[in-house]
Amino acid sequence: MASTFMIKKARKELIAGYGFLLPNFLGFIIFTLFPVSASLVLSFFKWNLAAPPTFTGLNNYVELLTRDPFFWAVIRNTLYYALLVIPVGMTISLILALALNQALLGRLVYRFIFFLPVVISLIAVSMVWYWLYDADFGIINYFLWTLFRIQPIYWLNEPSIAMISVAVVAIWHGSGYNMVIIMAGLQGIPRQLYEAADIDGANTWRKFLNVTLPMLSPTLFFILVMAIINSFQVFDLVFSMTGGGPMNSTRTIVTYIYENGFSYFRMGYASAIAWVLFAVIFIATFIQFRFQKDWVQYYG
Amino acid sequence: MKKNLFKKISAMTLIIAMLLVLDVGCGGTKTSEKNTPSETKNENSVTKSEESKTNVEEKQEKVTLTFITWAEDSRIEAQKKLNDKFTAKYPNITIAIDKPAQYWEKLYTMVAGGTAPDIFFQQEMLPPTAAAEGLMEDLTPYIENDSSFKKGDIFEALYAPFTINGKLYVIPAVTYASILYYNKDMFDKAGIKYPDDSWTWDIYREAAKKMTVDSNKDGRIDQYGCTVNTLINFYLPWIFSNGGDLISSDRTKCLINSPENIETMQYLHDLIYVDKSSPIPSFVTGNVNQVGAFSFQTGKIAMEITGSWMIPTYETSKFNWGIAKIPKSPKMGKAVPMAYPNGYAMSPSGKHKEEAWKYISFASSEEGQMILAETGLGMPTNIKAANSDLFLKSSKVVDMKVVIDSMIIAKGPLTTPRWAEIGEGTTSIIQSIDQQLWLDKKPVKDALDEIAAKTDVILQEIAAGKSTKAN
Repeated sequence: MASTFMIKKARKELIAGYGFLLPNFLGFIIFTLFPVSASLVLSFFKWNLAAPPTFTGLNNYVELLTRDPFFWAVIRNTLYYALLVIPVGMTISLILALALNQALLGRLVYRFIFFLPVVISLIAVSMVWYWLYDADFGIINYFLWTLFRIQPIYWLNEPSIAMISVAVVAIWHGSGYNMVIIMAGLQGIPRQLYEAADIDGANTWRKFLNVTLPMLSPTLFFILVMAIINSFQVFDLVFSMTGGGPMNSTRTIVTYIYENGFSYFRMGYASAIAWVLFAVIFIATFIQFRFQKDWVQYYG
Repeated sequence: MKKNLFKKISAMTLIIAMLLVLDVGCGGTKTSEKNTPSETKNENSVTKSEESKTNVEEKQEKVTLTFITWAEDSRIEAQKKLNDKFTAKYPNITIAIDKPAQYWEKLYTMVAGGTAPDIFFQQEMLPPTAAAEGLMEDLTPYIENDSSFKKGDIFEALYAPFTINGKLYVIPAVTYASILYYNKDMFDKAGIKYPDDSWTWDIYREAAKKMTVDSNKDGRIDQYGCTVNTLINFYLPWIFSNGGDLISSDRTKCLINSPENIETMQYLHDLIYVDKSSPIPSFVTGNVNQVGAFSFQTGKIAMEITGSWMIPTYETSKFNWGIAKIPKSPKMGKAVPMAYPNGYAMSPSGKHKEEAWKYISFASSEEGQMILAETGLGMPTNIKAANSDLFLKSSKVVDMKVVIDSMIIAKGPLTTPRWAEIGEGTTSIIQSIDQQLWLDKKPVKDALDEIAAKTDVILQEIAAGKSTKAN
């Protein structure tokens, strides 16, 4: 009697559980799984939207990897962006998190300030920075001129520094988010480890090096993995601030996908680039997981 | 934001995927269907028009034409007024107008979904590309069958960008011409006579030099004599005036590195780097801003040459200003402004092409054009409407006659298929390479040679049948 009741209840709960899952699951199938698999199919076709698609086998991939004059350049630009953003961005986030983890006067206000950029839309961010960077009227050049008599710098127009300018905005925008994650990681470090270090007579630097950093390594690993994925996928900032110029110096993989899709209307080719990008990210992430045991330490 | 964007992209992919399934599913039957109804349709409409002559108007089916466009809000309002007048004249036809934010993406998605708009707006640089992709109906037969439409009512120069291999694909609806804007206060202060028809490039250059000043002597220029606009659409009038062109008239060769063009571009380059009378171009590469910061409106530039669409914007300026025709090339003794027409195109797959033509014909007629003339945004393409008081008095500040006079001597641009790769957007061949010239990183001739060589490769591919990048 009781057991059939239990079974009934369990079944009910099962149905309810799946019922609650269903909206999300449906969303995933419709908006993620289906388009993703469709784009894989599309990558073997050529399709300009106006005429029906035609099957071309591996042609898109062959052209991309062997004949495309821009593909390796956009890979190089994207790697350059990643190299600019990830080390500096992570270091800044770490320093901010350590600083704001102290019993600092008004640290809530600081946390708020540093987290603020994260919640601002990237398009709004690029609008504001576009004007900060303006060569003739931007406030950055204004200060450089009034304080140091430095002639205008063409932050977004000079091919050699345009990517750096974009990277600065990305770091400014993203550091707050990583800061919060690292702070959570810091709070998860057991107090007794520091107490033990105190008894051993370790100074602050030693404690940081031998307690904080190793204990933080899972958090840092997570941030690194995400940062690499995000850097490979950089689009919004570049698209709105430089559009890939000047002289193609900020053309990245995803802006190139967009161009192929919505300027040249080569949907199949754009899909092929997207899948190559997927492969690159997959391999990069795989390598990181392989090597994580060399430096990531899990407590307990 | 990233998430939103990702969602957007996946949603877009989804739509595309669905369309793909639909298209593959019924692709075969569709094409066969496509031809027959439109043929019978033509016969129908012929008999229909005969019927209407014999006064059987009630029999006509109700038709709603879809029309997508881009425009300022006030021009959309005017267009709606025009639509109402049109519906009053043809009660069975209504117009559903839409102004999509991502215009071209929307158009191509509609086409891919088999719901192409009956009528859509087109600009002066992209017609050969759209024609090669099969997006536009040849309007020549419609013109021949419509006695109310007279080609001569519209400014001649406006047809050139829309005519490909003798076929007219777009009917000009509104146009702009390049003109010279000048800051009267700066001219008065420097004691220079205002620009007039006698002005040549040399006079322009000297005036620009004189009006470039470092007023507080701190080593940084505070006021520039001119500003060189570095977008291809904006330096074309200089190229035209000096007797040059961008593409050969048969569209098979890029002419940008011709001797006269090298001379032209060297002149513009020297305004920036030799005379230093123009600020170093802060060309707009991104998509958040449409104009560079150092514009005429800041009151720090004495002269600017750009399209007549800036007139309503500059009317809010706090300084005195005027407009004039662009200066003449001393070698050719003439000025050739650029005509920037926009116009109506028709989708070949539309189900109501006869009705769509009626709308296009009405909207470009004097009656239709007078409604648009009132806004003062953009010049009517109909010569009578342009010369009407409505347009001539549409500015409180400047003499609009200058715009009409410029349009009479103007030339429309000639482009090619696959223009997205060649000249549209900051990563295209022309723009990504001319940026080297504008940044003084490469000699003028080298940059132009490189543009010509790379463009010719694509033009050869087009000649060999690869008329769209996707083919």
